[in-house]
Amino acid sequence: MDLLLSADEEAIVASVSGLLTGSALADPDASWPDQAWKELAAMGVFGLAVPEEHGGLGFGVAGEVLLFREFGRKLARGPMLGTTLATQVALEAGAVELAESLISGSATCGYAEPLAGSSPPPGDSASGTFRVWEGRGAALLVLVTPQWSGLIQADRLSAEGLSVASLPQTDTSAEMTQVTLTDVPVLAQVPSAGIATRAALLVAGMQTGIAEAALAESAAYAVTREQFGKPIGTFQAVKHRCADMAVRAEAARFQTVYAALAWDDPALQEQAAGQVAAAAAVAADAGRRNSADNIQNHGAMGFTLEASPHRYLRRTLVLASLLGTPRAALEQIAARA
Amino acid sequence: MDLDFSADDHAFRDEARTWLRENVPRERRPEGGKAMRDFDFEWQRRQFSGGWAGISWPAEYGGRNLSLMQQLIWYEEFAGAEAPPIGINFVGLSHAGPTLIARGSEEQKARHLPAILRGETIWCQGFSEPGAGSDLAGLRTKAVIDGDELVVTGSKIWTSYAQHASVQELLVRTDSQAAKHRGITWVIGDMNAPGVQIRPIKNLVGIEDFCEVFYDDVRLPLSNVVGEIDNGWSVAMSTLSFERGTAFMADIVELSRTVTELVALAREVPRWDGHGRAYDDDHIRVELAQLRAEVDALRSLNYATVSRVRREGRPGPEASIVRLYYGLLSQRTYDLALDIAGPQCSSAAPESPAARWVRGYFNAFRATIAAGTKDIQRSIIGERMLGLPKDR
Repeated sequence: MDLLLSADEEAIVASVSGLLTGSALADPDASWPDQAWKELAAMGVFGLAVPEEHGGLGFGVAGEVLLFREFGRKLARGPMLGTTLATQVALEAGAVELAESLISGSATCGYAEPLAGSSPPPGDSASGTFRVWEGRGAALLVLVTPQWSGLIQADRLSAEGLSVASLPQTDTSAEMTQVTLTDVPVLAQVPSAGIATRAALLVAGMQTGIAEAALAESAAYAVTREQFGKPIGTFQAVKHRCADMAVRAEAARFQTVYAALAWDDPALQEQAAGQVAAAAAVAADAGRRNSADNIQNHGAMGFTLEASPHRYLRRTLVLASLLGTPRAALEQIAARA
Repeated sequence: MDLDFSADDHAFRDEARTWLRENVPRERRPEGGKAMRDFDFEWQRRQFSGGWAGISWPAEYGGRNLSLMQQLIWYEEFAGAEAPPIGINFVGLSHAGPTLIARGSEEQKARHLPAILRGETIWCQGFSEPGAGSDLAGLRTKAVIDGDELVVTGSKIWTSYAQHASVQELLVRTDSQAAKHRGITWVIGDMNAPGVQIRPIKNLVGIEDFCEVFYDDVRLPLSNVVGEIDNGWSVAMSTLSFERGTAFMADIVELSRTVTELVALAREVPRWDGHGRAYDDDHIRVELAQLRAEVDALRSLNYATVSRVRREGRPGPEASIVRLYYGLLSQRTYDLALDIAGPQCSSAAPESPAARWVRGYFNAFRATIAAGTKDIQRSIIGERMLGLPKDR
């Protein structure tokens, strides 16, 4: 039992983090960076959890969670969530070629979930209204519902049962759209809760990264910003708020890692879903509250669009709106024995 | 990252579970006095003779030389079996013993460690003073060297179980001219030595489990000094790292059980308005779910501590995170318990189910005061983990 990173895990995290730093993948103003996406795929990011015999790296969901923590930390944009989940759907459904095209980076997939109460559970064809997060340019959409997930083609469709509506964006560094499907054929499907659970883990990973990034930004600012002739981090009111941020970030990190490892472990299947729900709740709380405290710690600078704290807050709010909001996770816990 | 337990770990867990099932005392633990002391001793001796004392301690001092992970497995099974707490043996087992293992001389280890495991000696902690609480290094109890002895004068306070203890982790000032963190010595105190006076203090719960201790020319052999004269601060930091890091692992596991029991209570007692059960109330149900999520996270943090100790040899400043998280969470748990238990809390008979929650509520205040207040823990996190400037 070891919740800290192995040398291999450290290495892959460092290379992904290095790629994201200064990359257009983490720059909301840059045009879409095809090249960086291909480099990400070349590192094996989309086959990270895939067993080695299927061309992946065999790190498990726990490995994916580590990368999504970096995606959250860097506020990366792009269809990472959808593509990672789609790979799993394709593999579980036996659509090996589809999985390979996703792993290699030649196909991308947006993340979609039904608007509350709008869609009947899909089967061989899908209908209904879905929210799509980071689906731009993607050839595929993965439809994630609590008990069923499936893949559809998304690139040649307005004529064939798919219409897309753009939405105002709370988080301008990533894109939320809405699609309405009418009898769109499903390419591959997984009729279980597994994909939604994996999605919850990856979102918890991103929330953890946001909580950690907001903490790091606050701690750095508290050391350099001076008032009353001292760095503001000298004052307990600020220092202790930063300490509380560290507590939340640490709890989110280790609960998310534990839940992911439990999900990967066949012997822990019984408790894994409950652990994932706990991770979702704790990480969403850490993401939102740390982002909010980061704004407070920056004073009036925090209340501008010129400084960066607002960006974490926007991303964390959008992530918390997915998968039925953290309240769904809490009710799942409440329904436990 | 992995959750793999070795075959040894699994076998250890099975063995522990079986032994506990057959050996956990079923009678209620007395609340104080000699009856409590006898009970705690007897329970410790039973664990020792069963081979369950000092699981991660070196074998040459009576321990089993197993991993900290196995120590944690023991605590998990211990809580699962509803075993009584280690009680008065806490200081010896959880931080005096580990401090001696890390910093004591061969003679000190040989003399004290087996006695702790066998349930023969009770340790208490002489750190805080009336004028030195959070500012521990401001302590003024002084000791002067006289031949091969230290002569101690002053007083200590908040010393748990001083009235039962025979030995003490005692911090004294041996150089009053030096900077305050220098000039402190960590010495093994003798609670039965002439000149030691003890005044028990009733705590918020109403029991006398901590005391004020007065020292009037108390003579201790120099061979009782742990580490060197004037170098006690680093030994004290070692003690505190155990006290904040690994000592309350059992409490963490216990809190998880408490939350489970609180869920059961909420499913049983009526809602505030008398309609249905408390668990039907959205506020109660959701707050409980939040606590359950955080108790899971606390368990994961505990595992992270074990992971770090394995790599680095001892708990780091992250231990303050676990301590703070635990303290706040246990307080919220009992706070919610009072909402759930409702009006019966205002006049709970001593043996009634509600009494347990009222008592726990009062007792939980301890969790953000002992071993460094929550404010001290936050300053440690801010300064030692986040690199923020010191405020004093």
